[in-house]
Amino acid sequence: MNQNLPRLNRGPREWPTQPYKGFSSYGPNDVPLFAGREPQVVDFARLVGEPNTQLVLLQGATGCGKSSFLRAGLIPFLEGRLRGFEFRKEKEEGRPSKAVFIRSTDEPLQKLAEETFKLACEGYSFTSPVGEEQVNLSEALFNETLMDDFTRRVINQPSSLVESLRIIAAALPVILVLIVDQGEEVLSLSSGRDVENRRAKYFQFLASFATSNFPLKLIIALRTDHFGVFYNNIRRRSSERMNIVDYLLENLGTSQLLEAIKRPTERRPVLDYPPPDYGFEFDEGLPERIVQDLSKTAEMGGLVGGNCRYCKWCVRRYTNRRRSVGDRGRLHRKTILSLGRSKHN
Amino acid sequence: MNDESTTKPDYSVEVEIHDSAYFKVVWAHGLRYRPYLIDRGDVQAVSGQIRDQLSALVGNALRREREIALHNDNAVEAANKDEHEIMETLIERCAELFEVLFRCAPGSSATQAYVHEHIRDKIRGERSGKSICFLVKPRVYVPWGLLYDGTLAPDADPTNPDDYAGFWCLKHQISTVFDALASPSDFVVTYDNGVFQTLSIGDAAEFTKAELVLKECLEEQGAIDMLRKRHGSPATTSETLIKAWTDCERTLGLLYFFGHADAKNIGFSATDTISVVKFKNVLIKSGTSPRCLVFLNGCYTTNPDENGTFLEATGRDGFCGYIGAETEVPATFAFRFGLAFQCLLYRGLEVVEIMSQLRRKHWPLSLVYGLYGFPHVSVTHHPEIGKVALPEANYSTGPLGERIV
Repeated sequence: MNQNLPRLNRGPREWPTQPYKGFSSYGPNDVPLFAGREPQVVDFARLVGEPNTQLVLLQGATGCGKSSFLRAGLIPFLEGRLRGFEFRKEKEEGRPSKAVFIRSTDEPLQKLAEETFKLACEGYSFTSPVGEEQVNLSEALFNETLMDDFTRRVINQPSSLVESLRIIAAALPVILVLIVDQGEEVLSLSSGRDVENRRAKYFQFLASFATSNFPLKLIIALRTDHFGVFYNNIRRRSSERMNIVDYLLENLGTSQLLEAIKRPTERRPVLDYPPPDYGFEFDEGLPERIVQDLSKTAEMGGLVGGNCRYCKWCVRRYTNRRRSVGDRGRLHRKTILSLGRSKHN
Repeated sequence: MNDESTTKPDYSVEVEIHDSAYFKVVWAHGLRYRPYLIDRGDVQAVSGQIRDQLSALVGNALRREREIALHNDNAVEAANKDEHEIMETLIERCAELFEVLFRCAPGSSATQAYVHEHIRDKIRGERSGKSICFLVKPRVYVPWGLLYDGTLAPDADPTNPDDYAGFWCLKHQISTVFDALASPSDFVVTYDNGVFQTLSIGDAAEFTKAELVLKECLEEQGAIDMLRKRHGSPATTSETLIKAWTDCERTLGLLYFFGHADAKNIGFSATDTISVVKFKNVLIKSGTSPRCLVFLNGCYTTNPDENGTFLEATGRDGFCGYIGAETEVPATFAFRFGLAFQCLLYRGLEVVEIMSQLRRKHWPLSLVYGLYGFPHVSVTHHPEIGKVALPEANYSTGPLGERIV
C-alpha cells in the first residue's frame, strides 16, 4: 500500500502519442509521463490542502517546470479521488477543459477581477444527488453588471475582491483553486502609467486575502529571483497572522531526470495506466549517459531554461531520430551524438 | 468532480470553518449536494454541553458503584434515577446538535427546504447501518457520533441501548476523519494479520492496577497473555516508546495508549508526558510503511483546544486517525474496553463495526468513546486471537475503577 502515489480521475487510460514533450509543458493528458516529481506533488498538495492555507507562492527557476508541475501533477492529484478540490477551468463547447492559468501581466489585480467577474456571471453547474444544479454566484458582483465597473470597484477597493471570493467559496460544493501564472510580471514589467499604484493595490489585495481564511485557494507561480521582493511586498502590508505558504520547486535531480527519461520505456503499469507501448528502449546505460551530459552542460552554464526543459527536448530528438533511421527500437549513443547541440544551450 | 461514485462511506460530510461565525457543510452521497452554512457558536456550545453530560454520566456511575459497595440501597436508587435524568438531558443536547447540523444560516447556497428535504430526510429514510463519515478540518471538534434524531420515550431504560435508537452511532456507522488530503476511497484499509503490529504504551501503574482487578477473570487474562505474547509488553516511558516506535513503525498498524491524558497530552507518569506537539514531531511514519490507527485510551483525548489536538496529530501521513474519549473514563472500564477492541480487531471486523458492537454491549458508558479515524480499517481474521473469548458482561456495570485523570 503506497498512500502517496497520486491517484487520478477515472476515464480512458491512454498514454500520450509522443513519449517526450520537447519544449512544451506537460498538460492534463500527460499525467503518466510526468515522472520524477511524485513526492513533490504530494508535499505541495498537502501544503495547498492545509485548511489554514489561503495563499500559496510556488517559486522556481525559469523552465524548472512549474506549469507542468501544476497541470500534470498537482491538479490531477487534488481533483482526483473525491478530495473535493476543483481548479477554475476554461470551457470548450460548454464543457470544462484545462485549468485556467491567469496570466499575471503587470495588472494582475485587474486580471483576477476579470476572471472573478466571469466566474460569478457564469455561475457554477454541477450534478448533485438531486440532479443538475446551477449555483447563482451573482451576489459576488455587488450589483455590478459590467466587467469594467466590477474591475474598477476592485481596483479602488482591493478588499472587495476578497469579499467576492468569500461569497463564491461559501456557495460552491468544492474548494476552488485559482492559479496566477508568471507572478513576477507585476514586478518585472513596468509598462503604462501608475505602475507603483497598481502594484500597491495588488499587494494590498494579496495581504488582505492572506489574512483571511475561507475555503478557496490562490496559487501564484513565480520565478525564484523575484520571490523575496514579492513576498516582502505582501508581508509588510499587514501585521496580522497570514495564511500564506511558499514552496520552492527545484530543478530535477539526477534520479528524477532518469525516471523521467525512462518512464516511456516502463514495462509495468504506471499509476492507473497500462504499461506504455512506444516501441523503443534504451541501450544499456544510455539514460544515465544522457543525464551525465546534461549535468555537465548545466555545470558549464550551458543550459538556459532549466535542465528538465532541455532534457525533454533532447530525449525527444533522440527518439524522433530513432524512428527516422528505423533502429529496431533500441537507442544507441552514436545516434545521439549525431544529433548535434541544441540551439538553446 | 463527476468521477465520484457511491462507495464506502455511503455518505460523507465535509465540515470546515467558513469564518468566525459559520461552519461550511457539504454533504455527499456519491455526488455532492449544495453546501450550506451552520452556526459555529451553536455547534461548539452544544458540543460542550454534550461532553458535560457524559462527564455527569461517568461521575454518577462511579458514585453508584461506591454506594453499591457500601450496600447503601437508597443512594443506589437515587443514582439510578439520576442516571435516567442525565440520559434525558444528554439526549436533548444531542438532538439539538442534530437540529443545528441541518439548520441553514443566512448566506447559504442551499435553502432550508433543500437541506431538510434532500439531505436530512433522505438519510432519515435510509435503512440502518449506513457508513457516514464526517470529514473535518482544524478546530472542528464535535462529537458527531452522538447526533440524536428523534425523541426519547419517558420510560426509556438507561441500561438498554434499544431505547436510545435515535443515536446515529447506534443506527449507522459514524466516523470522523481529519486529513486535508484524505479521500473517502482511502478509508478502506485491510492489514494482513501476519504482519499487523500493535504497540502498547502507557502508565505502568495503571496497567498493573487494572490487571490486578481482573486477575480472577480468566478470559481477559488469556486475552492479555495472548496479545503480550504477540506484541510484547507495553512501553511505559516516553523514552521506551520512542525506541519501540523506531523499531516497529514499518509494520505498526495500531498504537494503543492507556493512561493519564487530556486534550493535549498523554502521560506515562505524573512527570513523564508527551504533548501533541512532541507526538507529531517524534512519531513519524516512513513513506512506505502502512498507516497506523491510534487508540488514546485516557481521559478527554477528543476535547477541543484552539492550538490543536490529537485530531490533527493523527490526521497526517502515515496515520488513519484515532479513537479517543470525550470526557473522563474510569480506569478498569477503559482497560477492558481497550482490551476487547484489540481482540475484536483480529476477528476481521472493521473498526467502525467494532465500535458499534462495543458501544451497544457496554452501554451507556461506551458513549464516551468516539471514532475519529478511518472507519473501514480491519485486520484479516486471525485463527487464534480471533477466537479469544471475551466476557459477556456489560463493562458499564463494573468494576469501573477510578477516573484516570
